[in-house]
Amino acid sequence: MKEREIIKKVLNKSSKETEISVIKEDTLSFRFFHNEVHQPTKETNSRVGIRVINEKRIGFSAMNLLGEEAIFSTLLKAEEISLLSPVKKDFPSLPKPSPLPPYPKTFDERTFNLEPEAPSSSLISLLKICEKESLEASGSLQIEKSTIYILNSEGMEREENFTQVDFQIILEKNGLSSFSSGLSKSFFDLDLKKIFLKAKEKLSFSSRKIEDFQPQKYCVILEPEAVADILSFLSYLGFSALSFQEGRSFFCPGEKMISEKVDIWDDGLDERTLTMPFDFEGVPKKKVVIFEKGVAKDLVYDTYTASREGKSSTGHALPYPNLVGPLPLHLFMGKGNNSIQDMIEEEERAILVTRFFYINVEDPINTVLTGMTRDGTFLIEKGKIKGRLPNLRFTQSALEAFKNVLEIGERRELKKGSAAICFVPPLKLTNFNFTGYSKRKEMV
Amino acid sequence: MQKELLNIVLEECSFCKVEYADARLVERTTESISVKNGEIEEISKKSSLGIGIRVLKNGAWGFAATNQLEKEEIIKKVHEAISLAKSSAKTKRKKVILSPSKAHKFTFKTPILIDSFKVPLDEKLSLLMEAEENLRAEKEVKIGKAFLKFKKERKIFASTEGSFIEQETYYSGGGLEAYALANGEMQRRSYPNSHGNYLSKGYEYVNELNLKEKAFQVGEEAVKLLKAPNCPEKVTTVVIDSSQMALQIHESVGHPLELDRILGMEISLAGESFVKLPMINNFKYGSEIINIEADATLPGGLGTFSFDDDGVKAKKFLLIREGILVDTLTNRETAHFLGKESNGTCRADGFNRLPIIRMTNINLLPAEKSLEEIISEVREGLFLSTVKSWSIDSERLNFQFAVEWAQEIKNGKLGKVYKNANYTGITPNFWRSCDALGNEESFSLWGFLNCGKGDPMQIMEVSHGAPAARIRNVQTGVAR
Repeated sequence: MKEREIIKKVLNKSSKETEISVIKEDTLSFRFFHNEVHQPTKETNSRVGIRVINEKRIGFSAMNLLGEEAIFSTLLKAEEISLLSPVKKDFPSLPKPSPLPPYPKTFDERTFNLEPEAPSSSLISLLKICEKESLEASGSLQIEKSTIYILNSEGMEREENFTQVDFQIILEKNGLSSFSSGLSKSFFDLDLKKIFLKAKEKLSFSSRKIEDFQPQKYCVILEPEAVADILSFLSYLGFSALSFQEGRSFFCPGEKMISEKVDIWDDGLDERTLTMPFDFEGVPKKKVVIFEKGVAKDLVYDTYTASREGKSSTGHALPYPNLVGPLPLHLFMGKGNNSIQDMIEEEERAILVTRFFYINVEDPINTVLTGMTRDGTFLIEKGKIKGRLPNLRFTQSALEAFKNVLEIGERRELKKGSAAICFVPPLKLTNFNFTGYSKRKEMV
Repeated sequence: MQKELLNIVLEECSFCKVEYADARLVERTTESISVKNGEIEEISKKSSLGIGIRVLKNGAWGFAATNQLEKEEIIKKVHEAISLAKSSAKTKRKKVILSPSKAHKFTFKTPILIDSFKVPLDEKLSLLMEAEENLRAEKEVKIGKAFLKFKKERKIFASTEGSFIEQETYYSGGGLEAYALANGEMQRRSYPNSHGNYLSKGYEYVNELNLKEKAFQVGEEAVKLLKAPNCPEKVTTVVIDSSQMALQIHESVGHPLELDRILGMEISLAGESFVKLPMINNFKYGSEIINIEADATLPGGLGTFSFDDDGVKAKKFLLIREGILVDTLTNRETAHFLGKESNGTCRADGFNRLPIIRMTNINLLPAEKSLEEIISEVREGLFLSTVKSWSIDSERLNFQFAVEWAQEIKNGKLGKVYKNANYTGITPNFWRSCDALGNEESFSLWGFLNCGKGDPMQIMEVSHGAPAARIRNVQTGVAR
């Protein structure tokens, strides 16, 4: 019996309002350091989550086995919990099915059926090139294929396949490092060599090391990787209806909160992202405009948060149970006109950031973040790269950063932010607050 | 049946003439209960079961894992692991060398008094409901949260070297969070630490937490923070409490002393370390009063076990002795770089991840002064307590940590409360500037559930024991 039929069979055994969501995954990963693949792994796993609503009493149970007996015993556990659970007064029913709009392919068939040999040999060839050129490459190549089923007792029945290929490479030579990455639905669309060449080009930017740094506010040029991180933290802190309803969000609908140059939206149906037509309740994903010309417009909702405001879900539920509420997982930013090179050439003094590392939130409601730069932070003077800075620490409000946008780049790239997939351009911002740096000489 | 599956793996691996193989069958059960503003936020029970197979072939690792425990699938996974190892071997400059380890046959179970999974759900709910209500006794507390988490894990490890080790580990714990909101500002106060605290114990630990009684104070302190001034920006003396010192140890001692980081094996995601091999036995990491140990045998610790996932017996050893770096955390793959045998810190997150070096229980050993004495010797400074936010660079040098609670110290006494406190520094400078450590009374054991490392990501539970500490010349109030 196929998985979907097993899930349906178990669902039919429940006399209560019930939702069964299943994520079935196969992940192939090649992790490498200094040109050696040192941690190759292949994983087959699944997650079966069952939510039972018994007169507004919610019970949940999950496990990772797919057989009928195992799924049925998980259902019984969820039912048992629901009997003991207190009433959640404002919980609505599980969502009823509504038709999905036409959507682009969520997976690449050849990638879905890919055997490990092809990615392994592509990676090995690349590492041999690195070895030949005396470059030290570290990073990972991951290929994930998954199938998601979401069925509920209200008649919801979704099934879709997904593929995701993620390649990250750090190159090192003579104590300098650079980084590049790529993300796609298809292994065959991801040009590993091109990504490697981008990192290699970055290594050649400058070999002059600037050891001393004066922490202060600088004009900064953020590459898409760095933009994705800041945007996804801003989203995590304020784009969810739950954080807004609880008074934890900075978001003020109708107010101009960031630069009028900036448009931000979420769209799981756009083919340029890792497309997802429905959320983890099975609700069709809607495009949600979050900021238009700097003005706060709309938030994202799941069924529960939408019902609290008498609205409809926008299709942004995460797998139950989650404590953060709905979130946008497919963020986009509008594009501008300039290239990174243009941004560099026109600037008297600025800092170019390749990517950030270990960002955390210091003050959620004011969106104050702190984090470090890594793998290529450059000082720009008189339109030229003057040298490499050490890893810098910033302490900066993400909202203020988007207020201070001077320029938006033309070329957008798909990047993995910490809480969302982001299709974003490079940005030039003013008054970005660098508050420290990695002082190596102080440790001797 | 499960033991039979492990034998199938080992027999197939031996037939395929691998240099080494091990298999871990892991069964995990968790329970989470969370109450927010008088309503259930989560009641969930989760479980997982599967097998992870690690082989060494042609001098390279291959790993495959599955949740499908049929014989044919498992044999398929053995061959996938071997095939991955063979292809990876083509890139190896040097073959993987495993430091020697004896074969062990052993059974271990965390000693617990009350099995948390057998305590009725309604008893847990009534505790949380009352505790959460007490948090909101102050009207400015707009969000109250009370939560409990429990986990038990049964793991069987078998290797081609003849080890067969069965372990059953537990943790229990929980905590409180009060969010005070007014005029576009929010302050959080947590108990006993941010995200709670967890020990390798049964429900007896939940009883020790006194959540209902503590909740009133937590709510009051959240409101006090809301009305407090911002932490001043200055270089000053700080006295840091045990819970915050636990984080300091985690980020600026535990992680940089993982030998895989030091060797560069973690560079792509978690980063590397400012520590280099020649620094061992001569690098002044901290002041002379700093003694830090790794102890996987400590009762109650989340990093406590009998054998690690290399099959190496749990150990207790010093990492820093009187301020000097003397050792690192190793596994069988890396120990030979130090000319040593593994000190047993190799662990995997569940059945489906490759074992890597992880912290066990990394503890800062206490000294003789009480917290009151340490504070009484400070003319001007700040008392800092409870983790709020943490960030550190990819070499573990530049850190910046925010705390929930700060208080002025003036002429040896605690004074006014400050909000939005943070401090920053460079790892060795910070530890070298420590001039006083608290005694046993100020020492507590803190369990963290969320230590991330590896790629694909692995989340591990670790513990840190720490006394309060006094550090001179620390930059506080960054960007305030």
